[in-house]
Amino acid sequence: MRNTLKLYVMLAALAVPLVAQSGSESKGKYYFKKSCKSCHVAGAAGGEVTPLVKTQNQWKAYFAAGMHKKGAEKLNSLVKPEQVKDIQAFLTAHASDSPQPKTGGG
Amino acid sequence: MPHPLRIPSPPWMRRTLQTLVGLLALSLTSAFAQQPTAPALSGHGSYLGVHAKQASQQTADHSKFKILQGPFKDGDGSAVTRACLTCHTRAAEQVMATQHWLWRIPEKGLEGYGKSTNLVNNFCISTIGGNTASCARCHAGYGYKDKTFDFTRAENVDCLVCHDTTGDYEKENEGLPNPAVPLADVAQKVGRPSLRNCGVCHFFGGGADATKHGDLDDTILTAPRTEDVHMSKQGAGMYCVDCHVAPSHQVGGPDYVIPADRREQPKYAGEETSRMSCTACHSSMPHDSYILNRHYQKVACQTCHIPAFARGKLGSNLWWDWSTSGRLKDGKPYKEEDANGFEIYNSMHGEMTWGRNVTPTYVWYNGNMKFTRLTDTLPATRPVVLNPTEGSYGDPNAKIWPFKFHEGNQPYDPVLNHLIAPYTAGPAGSGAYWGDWKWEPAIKMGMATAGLPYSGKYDFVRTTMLWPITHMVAPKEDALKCTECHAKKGRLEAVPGFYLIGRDRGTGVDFIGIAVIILTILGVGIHGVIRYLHGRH
Repeated sequence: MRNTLKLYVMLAALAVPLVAQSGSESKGKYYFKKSCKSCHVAGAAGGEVTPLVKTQNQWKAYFAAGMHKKGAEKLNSLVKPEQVKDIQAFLTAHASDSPQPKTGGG
Repeated sequence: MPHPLRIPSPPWMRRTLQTLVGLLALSLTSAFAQQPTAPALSGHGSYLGVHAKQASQQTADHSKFKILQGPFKDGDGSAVTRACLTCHTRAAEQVMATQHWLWRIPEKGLEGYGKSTNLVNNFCISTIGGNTASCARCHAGYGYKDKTFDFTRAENVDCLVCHDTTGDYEKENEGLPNPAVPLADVAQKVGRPSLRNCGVCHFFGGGADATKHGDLDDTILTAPRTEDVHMSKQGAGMYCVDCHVAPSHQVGGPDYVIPADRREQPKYAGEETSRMSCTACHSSMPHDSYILNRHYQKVACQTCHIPAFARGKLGSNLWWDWSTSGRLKDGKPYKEEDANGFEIYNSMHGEMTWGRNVTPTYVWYNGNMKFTRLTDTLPATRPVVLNPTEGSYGDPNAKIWPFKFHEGNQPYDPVLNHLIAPYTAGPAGSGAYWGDWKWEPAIKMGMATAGLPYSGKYDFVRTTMLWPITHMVAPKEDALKCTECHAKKGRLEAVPGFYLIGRDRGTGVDFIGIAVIILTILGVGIHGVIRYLHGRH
């Protein structure tokens, strides 16, 4: 009984970071469109941003820093932290060196 | 004896006085007429107020229903549908009888018409060669990934795509909601379909904004009145369903062909209003001029009142060459844009041309079209006309109609002589064209999925299509002037079968006219000569 409980605790401990790390790509596409694209389209204030403007590693570095506006703003203050993970998953999956580079969120 | 003061004034003075009095009266009355209300921009006023009223008069506040509080599992659209159906018990049954659900026409004689069957075009070609899951983002249902889809399962009907009022609803592959969509919130705020609900699919026909139709694109949502008098918020502010009325979820529309008896009459028996034609609201005699009203017998309203299509900021696709697709840079697909920002090359699609403010093509059209299916043998003529229109001058139901002319170059089977449904939308390694960039496996797999014969050989064939233009109606001051058509090199230069004043020459009419002039001159001349010779003046 105790052992089973231990096993569950261990499994949960393993699963939590796994779930927390990998966001949902399709959710990310939605949040990217809803949040990021409100400024990051051609002709708008933020300039156009699409998944393929960076490589997978560049996106990883960008999200690791977690900063927006060239370091002036925390990403988490703009978008909910769990949504940031989803957005990262989407952008990385379609980065310029990914198997399926994408220009847009649509 | 006349009164001393009543000296008769000379006639010119009387006339001037009358004119002045008349002008004064006219300006006074018109000033009074305009004072009480501001002039309506759109003639009949705006529908914006009508829509607001309709929304406020809804008898149910959906946010009060317990069943819509959720929580719904991420992306579980069917759960929402089940909730809707607890009150709207017959709604799914109604939707399942429509083309929005079936993607084919159940009527006799129209077998093979529809996206879920053998219909083919020269944009994305066909859905049934393995592309269903991707194309089903525009299916009014959930889980449509291949031909095993259960068209009788009520909980697979997608209520929200048409009834979302928040703008937060989005569909993904197989028509499933994006898992990030806040389903409960969307479900609690359902309402009557607005421009956006229809537009999420119909503005994006052909795979992207403005691509297919020419008279429908996303710019309509923010259009000035000059782009579309009906749908612009500066104009009448109408929604699609104000004309495409939808009793029992049957949204009014042409269903590929518009039989003559249906065109200007209510679409369904017992339907109280039909606005599927201009005349349903504007009558068949909307002009002050008798001559303009007479044009209606042979000229569709759209011909003069839609001087050009794609009048928004976006270009519509005019040429799509699949044979040039698949070029890669460093093993990767790429895109090229011209100076106008039009995508002139995309590895996925090939070379393309786009146009804004395009003059339509004019054709005699009685509402019937024949569409080419994957099972049809191609005619020997090139280019292949994929949807020949029916009609001629002599046809009492035919009128001169404006169309978007679209040309393509698409794969076909030169041995069996029919068109091909390639498998295009899929990841690398799947055999799909957009994954592996090879036609042979993509076509072979596509035709196998579609369950159609394929000889193993393919080539490309030029095809043309005509798309009727009926939206983007311009303000009346922008309607065509007479000389746009009544001229030698006018818009109707190539429309056959009749004598058009100002265009046609060298016929009997001209001969008679010239003969009359010559005979008159001769008559006067001979008469004069005779009188001169006889010396009598």
